[in-house]
Amino acid sequence: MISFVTVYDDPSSQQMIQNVLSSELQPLCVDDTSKLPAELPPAFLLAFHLSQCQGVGVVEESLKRLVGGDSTFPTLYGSLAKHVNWITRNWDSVLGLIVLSGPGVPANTQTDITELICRLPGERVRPVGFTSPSTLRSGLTMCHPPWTHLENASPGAVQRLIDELCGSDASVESALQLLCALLPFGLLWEASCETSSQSGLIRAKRDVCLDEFQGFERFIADAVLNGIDGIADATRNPAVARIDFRLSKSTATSFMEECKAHNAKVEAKCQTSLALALQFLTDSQSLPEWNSRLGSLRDVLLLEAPEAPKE
Amino acid sequence: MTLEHPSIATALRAAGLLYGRLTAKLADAPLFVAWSSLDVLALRPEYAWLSLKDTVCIQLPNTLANITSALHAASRVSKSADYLRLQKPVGQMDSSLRCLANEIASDKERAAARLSEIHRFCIKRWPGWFDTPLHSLKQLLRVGDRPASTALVECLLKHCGRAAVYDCFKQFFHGAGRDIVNQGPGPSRASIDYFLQGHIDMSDVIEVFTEDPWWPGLAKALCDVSSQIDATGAPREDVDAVSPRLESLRESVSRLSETLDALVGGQKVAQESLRLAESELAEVMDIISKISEERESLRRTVEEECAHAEASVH
Repeated sequence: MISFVTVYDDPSSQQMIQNVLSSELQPLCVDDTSKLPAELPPAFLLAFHLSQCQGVGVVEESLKRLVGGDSTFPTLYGSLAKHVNWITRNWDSVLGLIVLSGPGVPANTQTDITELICRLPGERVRPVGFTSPSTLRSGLTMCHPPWTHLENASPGAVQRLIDELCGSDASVESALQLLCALLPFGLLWEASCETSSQSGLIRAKRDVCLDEFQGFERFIADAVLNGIDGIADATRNPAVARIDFRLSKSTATSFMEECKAHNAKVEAKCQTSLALALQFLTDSQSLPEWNSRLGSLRDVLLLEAPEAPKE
Repeated sequence: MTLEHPSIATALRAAGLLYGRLTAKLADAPLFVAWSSLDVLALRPEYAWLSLKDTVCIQLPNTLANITSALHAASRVSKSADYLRLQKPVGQMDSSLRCLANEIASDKERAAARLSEIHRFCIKRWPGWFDTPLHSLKQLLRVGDRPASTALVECLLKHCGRAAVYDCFKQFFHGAGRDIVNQGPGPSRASIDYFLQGHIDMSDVIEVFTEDPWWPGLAKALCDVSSQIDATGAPREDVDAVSPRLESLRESVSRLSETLDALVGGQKVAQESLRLAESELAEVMDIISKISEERESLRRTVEEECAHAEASVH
C-alpha cells in the first residue's frame, strides 16, 4: 500500500490537495515534515507546496547536497529548504516528490525550480505547478506520464498511477491479458489440422477451455467466441462496446496501418479499439493469417503502450 | 518456468498445453515465455538469464508445434550454476553491468536502453543506493565519455554486492515503520537502569515490558534479514562483512528474550539477571548503531568512489 504524503506551508493548500487526491490515496497532510508521524508508511509520495520566499542560501546549500556538483541556483522559493534534510534522511522511502508551486510564484521561478528539482537523485521527482484543483489536474497531466492518469482522479486512474510507481504498467497489463485470452484460439486451430479455412477456427472454439479464464480474459474469450460466429455479433455486442480498452491516438493510427497492410475489412464505425482488434482478428481466413494478425496486434500494443482508458 | 505474465499460463492451460504433471516438471525449468520482444526484455537485469545458452525462450504468438516442443525440451534441461546465480538480484545486476560495459564501447543506443533498465531495477531493489552514480552515468553516456562511463560501471560492480547486503537492514532504520532502537530496547534499558538505581519499582519495569513486548518482533526481523541477505546472492565476502554482527545481535536477543519473557510472565527475576539484561540491551543498541554507521559509510563511499572514478579519467 502506498500512501500519499503532502507537506506544504500554506494551510489553504490542504483542502485543495485533499479535494483532488484524497478519495483514493488518503493523503497524510501536514504543514511541516516535523509533524509527520513517527511511523511512516514503507513507501510514499511526497508533495511540497512552495508559496513563500525563503532564504536562498540555505536552499542552495541543501539542494547541492542532494543534487551534487557545484551548480549555482537561481532564486528559489520554499519550504523545500527546511525539508531537504528530512528528504535526505527518508529518501529511501520516497517514491516520488511533487513540488507544487503556488500562484504567488512567478513563472520564471517555477521554471528554475522545475529544472532544479529534475536534477534530484533518481527519477522520482515530478514537479508541477497549480493554482486550483482544476489546474492541479491539468498541471499533473502535463508532467511525466504517471500523472496523466490523474486527469480524472478516478479510482481506476489512481490505481494505474500506483501500479506504475510500483513498477507495473496497467496499460501493458491489460494488453497482455487481451493477447493471452486470444492465444488459445490459434493454438487449437492448429490442432484442428484445418488451418487453411475458418472451419478450423470454428472447431477450435469448441475446444477452448473457458473455465480457465476469469474477469477480463473471460470477457475477451467470450467476445472471440461470438466473433467467430459472425463479426457483426462481436463488434455490436454492447458488452464489447462498454469495455474500457482504448488505444492512444498514435497507437490507433499504427494499428489502422497494420489493418490496411493486412487488407482487413475493418469498419471505422467500430465503437472501441477492442471491437476493432477483435474484428481484425476474427476476420482471419487462415491460421497463418490469424498468427500474423495476432503478431501485429502484439507489436502495436506492446511496442507502444496505449494510453490509460478515459473513464 | 518464467512467464512474462501469469495469464500466459491460463492461456496455455485453456489450450490444453499445460497440465498438472508438465507444470510440475517445468516449475524450475530455465524456460521463458513472453509476448514482448525477447531482445528488449533481455535488457532488464531480472531477465539476465535469458542470455544463457541452455535457456529455452518462446515469443508469442507461436505455433502449437513450437510451443509444445519447447515445453518438453525445457522440462529436460537441468539448471546450471549460472542460471541459479542469475535468479538473484546481485547476480542479475552484476551481469547487466558487465553487458553495459561491453555495450558502452560497441552500441551506445543499447547501452542507454540497458542503463535505463538498470536504473529502474536499482530504484526497485535498492532505492537510494545508486541514484547519483547512475544519474552521472546517464550524462556520461549522453556526451559519449566512454572511459569515464566504464570507470563508473566498474565502481558500481565493486559495490553492488555489499550495498545489497546492507540494504537488507533498512527495516531497522529511517523510514521504517518502527524505530527499533528508540521504541524498543531504548525505553526497556532505561527502565531497568532506573530500577537498578532505585528510582522506580519493579512493577513499573514490568509495565514497560508488558505494554510493548518488542523482542519477539526483533528476533523475527533478524531472521528475515538473514533470509533477505541469502536471497540477494551477494558474494561470500560481502555477506561475511555483516555476518558476525548479525550473529551477535541474534544471540543477544535470544538471551534477552529469556529474561524478558520471565519478567512479563510474572516470574521473579534476580537483580543480577536484570543487570545482564541491561548490558545485553546496551549491546543490541550498540550493534544496531554500528550497522547503521557502516551502512551510511558505505553509501558515502559508493558516491565518493564513483565520483572519483569519473573524475580520475579526466
